[in-house]
Amino acid sequence: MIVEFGHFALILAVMVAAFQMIVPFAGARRRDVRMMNTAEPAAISQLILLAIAFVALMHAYVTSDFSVANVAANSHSTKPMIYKISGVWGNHEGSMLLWVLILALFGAAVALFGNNLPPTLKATVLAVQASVALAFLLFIVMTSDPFLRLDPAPADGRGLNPILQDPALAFHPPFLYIGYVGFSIAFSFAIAALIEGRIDAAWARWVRPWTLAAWMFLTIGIAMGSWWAYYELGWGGWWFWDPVENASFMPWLAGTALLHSALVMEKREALKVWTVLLAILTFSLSLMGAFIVRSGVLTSVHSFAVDPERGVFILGILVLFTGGGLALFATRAHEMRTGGLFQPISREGTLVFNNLLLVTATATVLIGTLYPLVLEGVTGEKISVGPPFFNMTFGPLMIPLLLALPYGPLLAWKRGDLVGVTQRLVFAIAGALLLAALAYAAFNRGPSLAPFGIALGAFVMLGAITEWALRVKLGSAPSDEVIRRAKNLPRSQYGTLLAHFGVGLMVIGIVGTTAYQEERILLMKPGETVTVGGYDATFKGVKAEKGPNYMEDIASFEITRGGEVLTTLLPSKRLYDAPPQPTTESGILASWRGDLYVVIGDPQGDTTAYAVRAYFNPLVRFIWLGALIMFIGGGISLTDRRLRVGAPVKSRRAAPVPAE
Amino acid sequence: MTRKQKRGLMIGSGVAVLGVAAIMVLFALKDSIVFFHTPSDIAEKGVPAGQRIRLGGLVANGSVVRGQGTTVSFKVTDTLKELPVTFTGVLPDLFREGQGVVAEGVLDGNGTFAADSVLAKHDENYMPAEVKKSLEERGVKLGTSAHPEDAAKTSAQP
Amino acid sequence: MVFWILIALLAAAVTYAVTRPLLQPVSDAGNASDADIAVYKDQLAEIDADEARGAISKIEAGAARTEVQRRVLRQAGSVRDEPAAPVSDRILNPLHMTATLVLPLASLALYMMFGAPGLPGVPLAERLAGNLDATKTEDMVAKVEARLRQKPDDGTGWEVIAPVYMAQGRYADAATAFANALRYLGESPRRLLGFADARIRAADGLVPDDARKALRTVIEADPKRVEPRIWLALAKEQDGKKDEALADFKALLAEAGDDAPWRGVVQDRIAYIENPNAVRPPHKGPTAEQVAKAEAMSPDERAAMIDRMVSGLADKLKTNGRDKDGWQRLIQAYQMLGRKDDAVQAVANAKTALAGDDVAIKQVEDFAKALGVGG
Repeated sequence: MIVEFGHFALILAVMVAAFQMIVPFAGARRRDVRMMNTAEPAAISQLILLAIAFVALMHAYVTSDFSVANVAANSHSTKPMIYKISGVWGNHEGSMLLWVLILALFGAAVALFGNNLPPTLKATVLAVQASVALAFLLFIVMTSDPFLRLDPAPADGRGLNPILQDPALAFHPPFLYIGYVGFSIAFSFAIAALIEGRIDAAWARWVRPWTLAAWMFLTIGIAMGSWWAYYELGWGGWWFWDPVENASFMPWLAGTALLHSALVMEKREALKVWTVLLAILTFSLSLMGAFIVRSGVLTSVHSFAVDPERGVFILGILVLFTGGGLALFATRAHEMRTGGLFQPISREGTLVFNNLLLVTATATVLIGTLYPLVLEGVTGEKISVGPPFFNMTFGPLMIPLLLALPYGPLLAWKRGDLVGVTQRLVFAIAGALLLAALAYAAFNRGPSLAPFGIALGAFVMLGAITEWALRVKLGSAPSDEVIRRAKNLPRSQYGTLLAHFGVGLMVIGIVGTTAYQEERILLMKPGETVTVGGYDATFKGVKAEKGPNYMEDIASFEITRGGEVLTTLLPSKRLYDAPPQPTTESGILASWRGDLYVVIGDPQGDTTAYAVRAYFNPLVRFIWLGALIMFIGGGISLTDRRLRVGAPVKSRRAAPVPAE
Repeated sequence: MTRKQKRGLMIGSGVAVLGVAAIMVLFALKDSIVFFHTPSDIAEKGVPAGQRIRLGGLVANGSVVRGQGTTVSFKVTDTLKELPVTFTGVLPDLFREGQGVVAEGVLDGNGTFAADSVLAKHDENYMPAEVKKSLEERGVKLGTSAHPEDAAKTSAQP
Repeated sequence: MVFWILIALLAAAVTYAVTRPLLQPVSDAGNASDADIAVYKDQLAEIDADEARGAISKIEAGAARTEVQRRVLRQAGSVRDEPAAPVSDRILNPLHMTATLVLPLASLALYMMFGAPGLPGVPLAERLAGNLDATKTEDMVAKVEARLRQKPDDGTGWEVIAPVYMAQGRYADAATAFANALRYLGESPRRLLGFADARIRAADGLVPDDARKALRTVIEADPKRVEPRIWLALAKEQDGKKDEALADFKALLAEAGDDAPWRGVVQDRIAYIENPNAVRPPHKGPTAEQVAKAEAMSPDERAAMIDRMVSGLADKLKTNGRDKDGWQRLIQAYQMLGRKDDAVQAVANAKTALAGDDVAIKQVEDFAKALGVGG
């Protein structure tokens, strides 16, 4: 009964979304307060109804109710509880339900916290948001209903793909979806503004907190996905330029650009047309991400559920909203008046530069991702575009971006003083070069450009520290003055500083691990030792163990460094019961210096020898630590006392940019 | 600078960045596109040795030979033609005889394919349509293994 | 009934909540530009604060202030706010009416299209706790599986469930079950063949290595068996060793009597190998027809098949009662099928039949106790 109650709630939500799309919109056009006022209860009802549906589905998973087709297809009675829960969104239908739930969550948040918005704008935003929700709800009900039943119920479920039975992956989709879907608010605001015909600095101020929230969750979601791929796929890599990864990375790049251009728009009323366009494109890229992941048109190491027919439906949604949004943009954009003027060398100038590079980078990723699809459609040739393409195109674009990054927050609005700022950054520049020299001396190998990359990351980090020091007058004012200033510095400014610092850290991690990785692949018999990254790993043998829902062969490696025993790593190969599928579990010894990473392959014939892969990944932790710092920076900005959603935002939040 | 000049400068620098990016994209595409072939394609079209390709097909039953250090050799077949492959490293979890596989690497002069990466997938997208068709003509019934849940069954171990 | 009341309440509550504002009298909407001006005031306050902190210079602050003030003036002076044209009650009341009716009714209609009202949820715990219909194969399977989870080394349980999995088309599970039966009960041609068949089906018709090994073991024990030879010939064909496969098939055909059921299959393969383009080959393997028959069984028929298996065992024990393992298997089968009285009776019968062999009787008693027979 709980299942059917959830199903009814889902269908009622379809009707409420239709109502919310039509009535408040008509009300906003006629300026009828009563009609506009229906938007708020409708948005909240939608959230409640979808929450009921979601909880009902979760209940079915937790109690292993295999009369629900979706549960039977994706769960199994022996699965640990945490994966029964995460199984709810570990499949197509459930993840789409999570998608609309988050859409409704953002809609309800606008309804509840958007009291400072002009009433017509609020009603229109909620109506546009409802139209997106309606499209996806119809998609769910018509092609991907998670509540379809089986009678009689099968005896047991078919299990969740074991590779997905992992804590990081279990909780990465919700974060990723909050990111993807959060950009729908920016989209709704952009469409509403185009319809209302009024786009000004105030609009940017209302949009920014939503964009920031979406951005920070997308950041952490992508980082978690990359972390999962790092230790679960057993390949020692952390980013594969895979279509599914690119699908989440493109909206992130565009969203980062949007965050910065909305800043210019709020402060100076410049870049209005551009910002609105970016808001539309960012959400379109999110929709395209959903299309790529769901349709399986592009094969990927991550894709686990594909269905061409559903892909066509999502393609329809993509075309409708992107096409509709761009068409509206084309008819209305010329009505916008141009805003504030500025010199090329100014804070606005650097932010335009940032946008130019980020959007170009987005375009290169888009080309690399879609080119195989286009070529196959045109000529029938099957090709793949590999990581070298992205490294050659994306990488060079990030260099000027990172060089310019520390300048941005230090330049004045309207007209900046490049020489003056360079003088202020002299410590950062000197420190970065020193670090590069140290890196060169320490590693004394690898590509000659690598120390330059380290210097770039260090420059960004030291630049952020310099900015803080200048703002609190460290060294030029008495210490109590410095403390007072440090306390008074707005939280949003701390957020920006942290986020930029995180970017620098991430760059160092990326360069370090890419340029200086050590890899050993060899056949090992018990008692043999391999040396990698200064560690000695001695293979002690393999024994079989039984886990809750898998059998595993656990290898043990004793790790010593300079004769001192540090730890024992236990990489393993698992064979899950349901579905019976093998997975590789890596053994990782983490330290600030880098990770020792060991995986085992198959036993070789009748001998006791195993194929072993051992890596040393220098500084690899900095990648995820950097992302975490960016996330925290975003969070600190959002808690700024003045940053009630839609209320004044005080910040020079320039969001970070990752580098290759 | 007049307003017009400023705008010109901005547009100019924008176009310059895009132009440089476009050139990079073209060069990078030329160098990093990898074509996908089946063993029959290679026999028919004569792919030159040394060109990077992706080879797709099934791992031929009984063809996997281990025990030359970490080098493994096996044959990839589309049931019409077979191609010997060598690979040094750790094979993926789902690598099995009789299952679909995609190897990336180059052909050496002797008609052996030296792979540097091997992807095993129980996913029909990794089985080229021609392979599927020829398999079906040979009486090998292919299930609805488009979904890994289905496909996972095929890797069942007793 | 409770269900219908609950969804009616939900629909009513939501409909009331979303349509209520349509009937509520309100004062003026407030000017749209008020909100903008509030933002600009905040911006001005921030500029003051920044200047006070010394974050921006006096000149910069002045310029920024002028800019924001210009926006305020523009906003205040703008007459872009079109005059409100509120909808009269004459239109609003019917709208309210329509929405009140359409929201719940359309939802109900859609739900009737997609939903399964009245179908109760069946959480696993509830199914295992009892209320099970022993004649339903699905439920029986669930029960046996739950047992096997407790006692995975129970070879008999695996042997009972393996053919059921086959009949249900769960080939991978069937292969695992046969493999476990082989491990705990030892090799027998039936188990080996069952295992090979399940593996081949699970591999979509390809003959995997472990299946070949099992088939060869069967032939070693009994070279007369035909089925494994057909599969092995097919395996050769799949390996591309067409000549060998052809020779094997021809040998089989030579041995086959005119009425051999597999004659047609072998002829098809020969024809196909000799001329791949002429004949469209059969898509199913040699024993596929049998399985197709099992697949086509209704749940009742399947239950009947299981019953037949159990009563066959019972009959055998009636004629040869000195089979301790057989008795244990029968007791377990009854217990799993929920035929508890029969299980108790079987224990008694076993004791009679095994009279004299105290060790065996003790084993049967312990076994029954472990299963909870009579408890």
